Amino acid sequence: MSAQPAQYSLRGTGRMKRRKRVNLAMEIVATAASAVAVAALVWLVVSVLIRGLPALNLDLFTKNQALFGQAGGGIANAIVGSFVIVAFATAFAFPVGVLCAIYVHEFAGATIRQAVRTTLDVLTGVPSILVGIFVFSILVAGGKQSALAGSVALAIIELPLIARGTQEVLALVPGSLREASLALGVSRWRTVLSVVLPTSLSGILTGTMLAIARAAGETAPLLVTSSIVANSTSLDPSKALNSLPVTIFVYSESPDPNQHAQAWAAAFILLVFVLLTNVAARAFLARGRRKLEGAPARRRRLRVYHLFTRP
Amino acid sequence: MSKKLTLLGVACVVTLAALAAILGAATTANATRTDDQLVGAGSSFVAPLVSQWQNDYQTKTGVQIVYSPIGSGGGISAISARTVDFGASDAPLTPDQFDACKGCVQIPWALSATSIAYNLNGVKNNLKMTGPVLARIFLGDITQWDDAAIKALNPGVNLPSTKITPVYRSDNSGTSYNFTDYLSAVSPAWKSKIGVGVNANWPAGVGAKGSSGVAGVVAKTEGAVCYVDIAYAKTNKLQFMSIRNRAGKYTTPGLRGIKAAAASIKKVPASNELHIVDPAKGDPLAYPISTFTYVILPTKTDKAPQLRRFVFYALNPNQGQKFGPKLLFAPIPTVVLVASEKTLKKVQS
Repeated sequence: MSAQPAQYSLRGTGRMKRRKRVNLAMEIVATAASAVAVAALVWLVVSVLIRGLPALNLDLFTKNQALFGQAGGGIANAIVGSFVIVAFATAFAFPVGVLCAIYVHEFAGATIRQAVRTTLDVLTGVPSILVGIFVFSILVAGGKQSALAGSVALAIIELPLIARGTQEVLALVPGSLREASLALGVSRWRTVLSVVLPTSLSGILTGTMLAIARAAGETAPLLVTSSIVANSTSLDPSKALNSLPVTIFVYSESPDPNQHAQAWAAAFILLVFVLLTNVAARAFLARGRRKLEGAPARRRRLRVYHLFTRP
Repeated sequence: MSKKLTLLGVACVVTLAALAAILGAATTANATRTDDQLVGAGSSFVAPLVSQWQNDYQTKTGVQIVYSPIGSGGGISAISARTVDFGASDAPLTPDQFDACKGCVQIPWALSATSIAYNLNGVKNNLKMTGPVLARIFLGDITQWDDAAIKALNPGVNLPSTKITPVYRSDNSGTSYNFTDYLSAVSPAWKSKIGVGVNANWPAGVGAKGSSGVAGVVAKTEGAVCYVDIAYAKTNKLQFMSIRNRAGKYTTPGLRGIKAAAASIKKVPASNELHIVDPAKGDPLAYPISTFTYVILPTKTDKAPQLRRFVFYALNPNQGQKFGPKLLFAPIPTVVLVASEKTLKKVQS
């Protein structure tokens, strides 16, 4: 007993000052790192805004490209085209992504579930230019460029994001809800439709919005599938439509300072869209989580419990 | 309430899927019926003129011309893959490219010149230059503006000791073809080291994409020099050189110089390939780096009537060609016009 006490002495070693200093230093470093990250985003947004401000006027949104050598003009067809391409891409990717996630979560066995999950993760990481030339070789080569080909490429990019996002939210739905529904004699498919999906709707929308934000900014697939474009606004997806990322790319290479300003303005519009979509997605997710973990679930459980405890 | 939401959700998903399917079917059915549009891609050299035609042609006929200036090389591959309805190139097709295109014809439809544009503050416009000295600049042998060779050509001009930055086309460019064609004709050193082509192993300088890219780099870089179509040099207010022709006179890429160079054509070969660089002593006014530019059409195509109509419009001295002079495109000479129209008849459905 007398041999041990020194090792386990509770008296301070007297190195408190150093420990406090190291603590403070690490706190400062961590805070500085976060500040750098936030500052990077703020700096990006502010510099895009400053450079694009000279071109941000009504003409930008209502006119199309000016003729060679003339000043002015706008990017109206790019905004409309981007909207059409992304809308079709989401229309293709959303049903497939959600149904894929439902299958993986509700009906698949463990091995298939893992395999599909891995496939989706790999698909998320495929470079967008590869997706672009893949779709080019199937839909464009030997034929014409079209906005639909661009939409298919963007849908391939959106699909794993929507599927994974939906899968994560489906996993959050309490198992007891499902079990209760099945116990009442509801078929599995009907359970998914009436119980699981409505509960996770906000999460699914969140995943979709994030996927849309990602797809809206992809340039490489659109460069090979929808870049030979007309100088007029069109909603026809069978023709090649101009888009914001392609416009930014083309204008940035031009020697015309007017077109440079328009490229920055287009970049700003794209940035605002991505930021707003991300913020809205987070808001939706927060609301959805509150719904899942809050009162409604408890209420449902109580109702079912009441059924089983009837005297 | 949750049942209504569920049904709404199901309805949304089903509608979206159905909409996508229907629209997909409808538009693929529609995809072949684009009568109101002709899509082309290629040379950025002719892009200023095509943009004038786009406007005018649509007002006159309602047919929309869609054109993308991706460079002559891109235009040739696009028309060979039939991704576009017509291609445009300043470089004539090689026999291999003719084979790869599987039944195409090239038709000269515009005529302009490649200017040597430079950016030197405080130095006058139209600096005098000869072919051999220009070749040495682009070979990297002459590296400063106050080099003895340049000074000898421009006595009395105060040349700074700024470094020369040659700017070349990094993409497969018909303008590169025209320029290397000229340099090979006037400089044996260039011909043996580099040769002619839409792209080359440029020994010195920086590259940029497209005529507008090259003009942009020169506009921003003090001491830069490039070769670019005169329309772009003029629009970007760049200084350009006056080049000595074989008659010993210094000429600029104006309409007179271009017309004089094209007048050297007496007969058009069957392939329509025309070279008017460094023309013989004949006309003292000839600008030695002029070039024709071609439209490439498939001989067998569904859109033959529309294409013939459009190219006919472009060749017509009172319609397409009349937009040329303002952009420094000279009207094509009669002997070439006749050959072009004859070749155009080969484009059939």
